[in-house]
Parts: sequence; structure tokens; C-alpha cells
Amino acid sequence: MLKAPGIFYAPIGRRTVEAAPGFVARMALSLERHSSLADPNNIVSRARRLSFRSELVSDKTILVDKRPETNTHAWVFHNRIPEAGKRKMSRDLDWMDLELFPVPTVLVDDQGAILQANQKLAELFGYQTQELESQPIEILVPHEIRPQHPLLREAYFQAPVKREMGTGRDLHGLRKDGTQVPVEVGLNPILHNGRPVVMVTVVDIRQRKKNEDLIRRALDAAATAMVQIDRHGEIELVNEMACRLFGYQRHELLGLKVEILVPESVRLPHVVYRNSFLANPEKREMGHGRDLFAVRKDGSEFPVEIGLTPIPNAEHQSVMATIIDITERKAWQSQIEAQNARLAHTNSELLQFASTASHELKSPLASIKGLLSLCQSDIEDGEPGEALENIQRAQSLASMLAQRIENLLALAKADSSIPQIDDYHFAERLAQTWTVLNAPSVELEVKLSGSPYLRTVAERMDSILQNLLSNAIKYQRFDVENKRIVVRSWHAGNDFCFSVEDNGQGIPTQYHSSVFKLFQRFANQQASGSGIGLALVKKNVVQLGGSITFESREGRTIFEIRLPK
Amino acid sequence: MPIPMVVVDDDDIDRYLVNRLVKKLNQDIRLIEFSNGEDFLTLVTDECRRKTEIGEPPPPILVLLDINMPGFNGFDVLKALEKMPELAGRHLAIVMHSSSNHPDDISASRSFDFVRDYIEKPLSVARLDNVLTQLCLS
Repeated sequence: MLKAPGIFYAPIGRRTVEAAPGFVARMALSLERHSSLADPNNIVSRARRLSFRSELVSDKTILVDKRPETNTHAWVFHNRIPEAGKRKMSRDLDWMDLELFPVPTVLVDDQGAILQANQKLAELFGYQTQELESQPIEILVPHEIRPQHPLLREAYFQAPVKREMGTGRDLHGLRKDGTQVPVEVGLNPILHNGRPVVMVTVVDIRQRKKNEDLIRRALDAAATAMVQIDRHGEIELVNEMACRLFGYQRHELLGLKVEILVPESVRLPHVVYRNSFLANPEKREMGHGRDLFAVRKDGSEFPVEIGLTPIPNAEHQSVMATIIDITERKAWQSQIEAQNARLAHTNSELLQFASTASHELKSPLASIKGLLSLCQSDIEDGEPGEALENIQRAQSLASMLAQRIENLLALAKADSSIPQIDDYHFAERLAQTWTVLNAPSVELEVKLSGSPYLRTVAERMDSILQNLLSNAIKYQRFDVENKRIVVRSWHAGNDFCFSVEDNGQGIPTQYHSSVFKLFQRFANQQASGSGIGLALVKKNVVQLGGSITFESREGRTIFEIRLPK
Repeated sequence: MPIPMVVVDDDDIDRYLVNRLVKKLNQDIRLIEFSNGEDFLTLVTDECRRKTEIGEPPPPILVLLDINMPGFNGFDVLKALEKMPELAGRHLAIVMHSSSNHPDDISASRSFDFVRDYIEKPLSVARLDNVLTQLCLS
């Protein structure tokens, strides 16, 4: 099948006669990128090394065909060796059938005009082959590149070498319909009829781009940050999540040592870890259970979990690191731990509470039971003398018990939150509480300074006042004439403070540390106190965000409370 | 010669109840009352005072000891007595007397080998009689 004079195309096994050695040389070159070959003998040996079967038919004719098992074509070239030097001769082709080329190819002269384009190229760009001839090559170049293209082209002709165009950049071709197609372009300077021309091969990389985009999009869609490093520890791939996580642009990270993402303090050891991982790569978690931290571009550190996956490449070993920011998880964890500690505390408090409460409730009940069975036996024995009195005792114990249960309920309620915050008129509420407590034998002195108002939960404040005052009344000394309670209030910064002072029995020093504990009673009067009052006061003060302190000796006890206004 | 018997309890009513039950027992028992553990300890550890104020019966002397008392409680009394095995084990017969039936309180009491018994309040004539019989005091 004769396509042009001197170049033959033939299926394998068909013997044809003429071949162009320069072309074979270029085929060899394009496969192996070696120096040009001019000598037909060289071509034969080169072709053999490239698994082409070739045969030097005469000093002008070489037969080359592809290995039969690959089931492709054979090219037969006619070697027309001019009289001049072989090196130059090998580059001078006076004709060429580009249709034989398996890739889109175009010949361009030193003025940028298209000399010849093959069908594949025309198809790629959406033209007829004839339409392209004599056109400037720039019609295939996107508009945005077009202005500078002639300059680049001329520069190329000044120093023509065989190379890829636009290495490292994305190249696009402009199709007739105005759409662009991603391409890879190879440039090959040759002589054509004595003129320097460039043979341009264009590879359509749409499919490859599509595949690349697919992978890139998949990586970028991943919820985990991915950073792939090469065997030198240089970042060769990052996904969108990694950029976001570390606060970098993608191009800033590519090529950097991965240690840029590692906190300063562990950078050096990290190099050692990295090398030992690469020496013995296996899929695993980084850090073997240690707490790991990564560092952002702004220098801030955050806790991470890192998975390592070795990715063997043809030439070297890469490692894909998947990085998960566990800041939130850590926060959750410590929140849960704090919650657990609080629960454990509450639980042990509850256990303590249940055991003491049961005693505090059972004890008067046992007394009531004892009194009643005594009454019964007295009446049975016909000696009802003390029965009436004992029934009365049982009754007052029962009332005391009821009050105690009431207090316990109040205490339980003090634990639950009461969100209602109101204006609280301290002086008014104090007066009301005092009236209810009805203690005519005790004198109350009130010394208020500043506004009598504060913003607080009225229910809690009432309970605090009521308990402090009733304690102050209850634990007066019987032998003292002027029983006095002094209530003061003042403002200190953002706090509202008040104190309740009495001149009563005081709390013995050895009990000072357990004053606010539940069911602690210091006075030897079982019926009078429940051991709940001060615990309840403390609980309410704490719930209001305040604090309580006290001083006490015989004759003077003062409780001081600070509350946020 | 009346048999001396001690009750240590901060609760006036509970002491009154023990007092009345002792009388109902119709035995010649003299009840000595303490409203707190410290007073009781001070007296029993002073041998001279013990003999004059409680008496010098053939041992032991029955002591009904309450657990829950403010400040110095029944267990504090037991811990103090533990250091005096002769007094605690021979001269006294300690019986716990509490409204608690909590297993922790019972086992804590029993862990002192000189504690003879544990009575849950309220005490009854029958239970008191039973304790006295067991201790061969009646």
C-alpha cells in the first residue's frame, strides 16, 4: 500500500523495499530519546534493541517491522543518502507521509506556516487536512497564548532541539469550533527539502486528564486530609482537605519536606521515623498510640490521627498519609471525662446522702415507735401516767421528722436548676423572713450600704436567708441577756455581699472543717437541728455562682456571702 | 446490790425509753446515763471514778452504745476502747444500740471483737431481757 514515494507501509511479513532511515531513527529516538542515528547499520542494531525486526536490504534500503506478537505494523524505509555528511543527511527529508504516523502530526516551517498535517491531527482539531495547509500554526493555539506564540516559535528555531513543549504546564489546542482540547506536544526539528522545519506531534490527553480529574476529584472529595510523600519525604500530592486543614495553598506544599507539617519540637525525630518507615513500609497507624500533633501554616498545633499507607511506584516508594483532625474528638473526650467525674462525684454524694438520710429519717421514727409501744404497754399495765406525755413527744418527733423530710426535699431541689432571675430587694425579703421566723427574744440589727437590689434567683436567696437566720436564732446562748443578730450588706466590685452575725454558742473549732457537710450537727440537741441547713445554704450559694465563708467562736459567729450581682 | 447498766446516747427520748424499759423488766438494775461518748470514756477509763459512780459488780457491766452521735460517735468510742482490751473485753459488755440496720454499720461494729451484740432501735423489754440473759447478767 503505497502512500508516498519512498515510504512504504506494509503488514507484517510483507516484504517491501524502500525505507527512510531518518524516520526510523526518529521512531527509535522517540521511544528511547537517544542521539540521532544516520548510519543504516546503526539503525538496524538500534531497531533490534528496540525489538523491531529489521533488515538492511541494501545500503539504501532498510526493512523494519514491529515484533509479530504485538501484531502491529511494519515500516519500510528507503534510505536516500545524499553526498554530504551523514549526520546532516539523516535530518533532511525531502518528503514524508504524515499519514503513516500513529499520532496527530503537523509539519511547520520556520515562518510558522503549516506545511502538512495528517488526518488524525485535522480530526483532533476539527478541520479538513486541506483547510490547515499554509495556515499559520497559531490557528491551533488558544487565543490567550496566541500573541506570544510567534516569539516562542522563533526562539525555538534559533536553538531547535527535540523536546516536549510547555513542560510542566497544561497545554491546550484550539479546535475549529472554538473549544479547547488538552494536549501534549512534542517538537522535533528536521530539514525538509533543505529547509528547517519542525515536526510537531500532538497527543490528545483528554482521557488521561479525565482520569486524572476523576482521581483528583475523588481525593478532594475525601473527608480526610491526604498527603503523599516521596522517598525523600517531599510532598508530591495533597488533597483539598489537607490544604484546608493545614492552611496552605496546594502549590505551596508540593515539593516541601513533609516536616513542615510537623511541630518544630519533633521535626528531627520525624525524619528518623520517616526513614525507618520507608525502610520497612507497612500499612499502619503513626505514633503507636502516642498523642500526635500537627502544625498549621500559622504555627498553631492540633491533635491528629495519622494512617500510613505505602504506595509502591515503578521507580520509588511513596507513602500516603491520611490525617484526621481529632480536636473535636479530644474535646468531646475530655468533656465526657469531666462529665463522668461529675457523675461519679454526684453518685458518691448520693450514696452518702442515702445512707445518712436513711439514718436521719429512721432515727426519730425508731424513737416514735419506741414511745408508742411504751404507751401501749403502760396502758395495758394500767399505768397510763406518762402515756399522754409520751404521745405528745411522739407527735413532736413526727413534726420534726416531717420538717426534716421537707428540708431534704428542698436540698434535692437546690440541685436542680432554677433559671428564673429577678430583681431581689434584699432589705424587704430580709424583713419578711425575719417576721416569719418569729423570734421576739432576739434583736435583729440591719446595716445595709448601697443599693438594696441584686439580680438573683429569689427562691435560693430566700432559702439562704431563712437558714442562716434560723441557725442564728436556734444556737443562741440561753444565759445571755441581749441576744443579737446583725445583718450587713455591701457592694464590692461586681459582687453583692452580705453577712449574718450572731452572739450565740459558736461552732466548736474541731467542726469548722465540716460545717457545710450534710447531717453534721454540733449541738447536743437532737430535736433542734436536722444537719441540713448549712449544707443547703452552701448548695444554694454555689448554684448562684457565689461563695460563703465563716468565722466562729463562742459568742460570735459570722457567715459572709458574696454573690455575683 | 443493784446491777449497774450504762446507756450512751445523745437522744434524750431514746435514753428515757431505755430507762422505762429497764424499770418494766422488774429487776434490780441501776441505769447510768451518758449523753455523749466522751463523758462515758472519761469515766470508765478512770478506774476510781468508775468504781464509785458505776459500782464494782462482778464483771461485766452492760453498755448500750449508740452509733450516731454528733461529733464523737459510737465508732470513735469503740476505737478508743480497742486500745484498752482489759477494760473493753472484761469489765464492759458493749452492745451497739442504733436505729441503723445498714449492713456496713453492723459489720463495722462486729469487727470489734469486744462488741457482744447489735440491737436495732427501738429496744423492747423482750430484747433487753434476752441480752441480759445471754450475758448471764440477770
